Amino acid sequence: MGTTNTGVGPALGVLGTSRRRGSSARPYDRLVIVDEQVMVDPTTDDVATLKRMAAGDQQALGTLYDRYGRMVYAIALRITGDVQSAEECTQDAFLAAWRTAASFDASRARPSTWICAIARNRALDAARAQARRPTPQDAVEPNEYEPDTADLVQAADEAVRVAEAMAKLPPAQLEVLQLAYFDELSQTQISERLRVPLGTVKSRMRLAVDRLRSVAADLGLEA
Amino acid sequence: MMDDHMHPADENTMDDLSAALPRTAPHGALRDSIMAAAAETPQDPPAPEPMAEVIPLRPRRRGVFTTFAAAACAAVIAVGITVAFTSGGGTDSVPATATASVASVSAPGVEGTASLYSPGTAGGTLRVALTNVPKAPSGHHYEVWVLPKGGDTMTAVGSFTPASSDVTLDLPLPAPGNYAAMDISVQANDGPPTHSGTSLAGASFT
Repeated sequence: MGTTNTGVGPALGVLGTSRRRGSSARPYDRLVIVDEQVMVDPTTDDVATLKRMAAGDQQALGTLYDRYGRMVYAIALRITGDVQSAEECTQDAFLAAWRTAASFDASRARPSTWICAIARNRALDAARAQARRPTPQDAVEPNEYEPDTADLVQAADEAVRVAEAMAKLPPAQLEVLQLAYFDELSQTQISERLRVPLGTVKSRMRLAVDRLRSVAADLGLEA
Repeated sequence: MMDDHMHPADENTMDDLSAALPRTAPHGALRDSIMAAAAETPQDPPAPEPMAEVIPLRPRRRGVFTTFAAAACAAVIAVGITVAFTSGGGTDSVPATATASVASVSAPGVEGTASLYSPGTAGGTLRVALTNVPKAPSGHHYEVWVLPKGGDTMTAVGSFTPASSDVTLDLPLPAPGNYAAMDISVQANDGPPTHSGTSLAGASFT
């Protein structure tokens, strides 16, 4: 179970809980109001994080990982079906982001889309390589299994779609959702971890899941 | 005291989503491993500025190779593309690994070059330099695709609407590897995320 946070604490600490909708004063002109709290637009925050990475700030890489590491890992795990491969793909993806941060163009993609795409491509490569690798059984009987590219890509696209929907959540909702979704913490545990009232955790969770419900429906995942 | 349980509908939604995205967190040591590796990893310089309006990339798309790519690549080859493997002269200080002439497919007069830079490494780039590019039809844009060597699936690497008839694009390759061809398709802005089947131009690196 992970013990990381999503790195939104400082932003909330600075911005507090005041309502500033429509304010023209910088730096509040790209803020959104969710759950009675003013929060930085996640894309704006991520672009700033990538700029810091491009300038060589390794703490910014940690921030990016805290925010998207679990999603990236889950994408890789869905595609490769193997924990070790998923970890390797996650590491490759974040190192690629670190190395090429200076080339990131915010006009072409959201940072979350970018990192998810890198992970997706790494994982697809790994899955194909894995399927082609000979196993000890091959010596006895030929392995007729060939990777079904279409199935792999469909799995990849589904995973990325859910992850990107999560990534679009406001940071405070994403933080709560990830602790419940990936770390499987109870709402009380999340409340204690984040030091916010249980009622706030519940409302953030409901808002977050409401936003994801349509993705589940679109993908035909509803039971 | 407030009930700790999540709303059943929310719990169900999360379970539904887990079919697409596993509800599993990575090992805590992975973060430390990545940070340690980053400390040993030098960063690349910024890529050159693109010279055309690049529109936001939609999710990576899967091409339908059997219905279009074979025909597109065959058409490109048929018009006599010239492949030049160069040892220098690329952008910045990095030489192109392969350069191919771009041949028009559906629009006459489009020509230029497509060059691969470090395609075998992460962060590889495709540079496409075109002339005589017509405006995209109303409600449409152009999309650039690449086909890995030995593969049967094209991947979209970027979309653009030309600001002028001369276009230069620097696009990140989707993965390290060898690439056999590139293609530029004409896509409806609100169309499906697959190749439209209509190619503006293309090139083969083989």
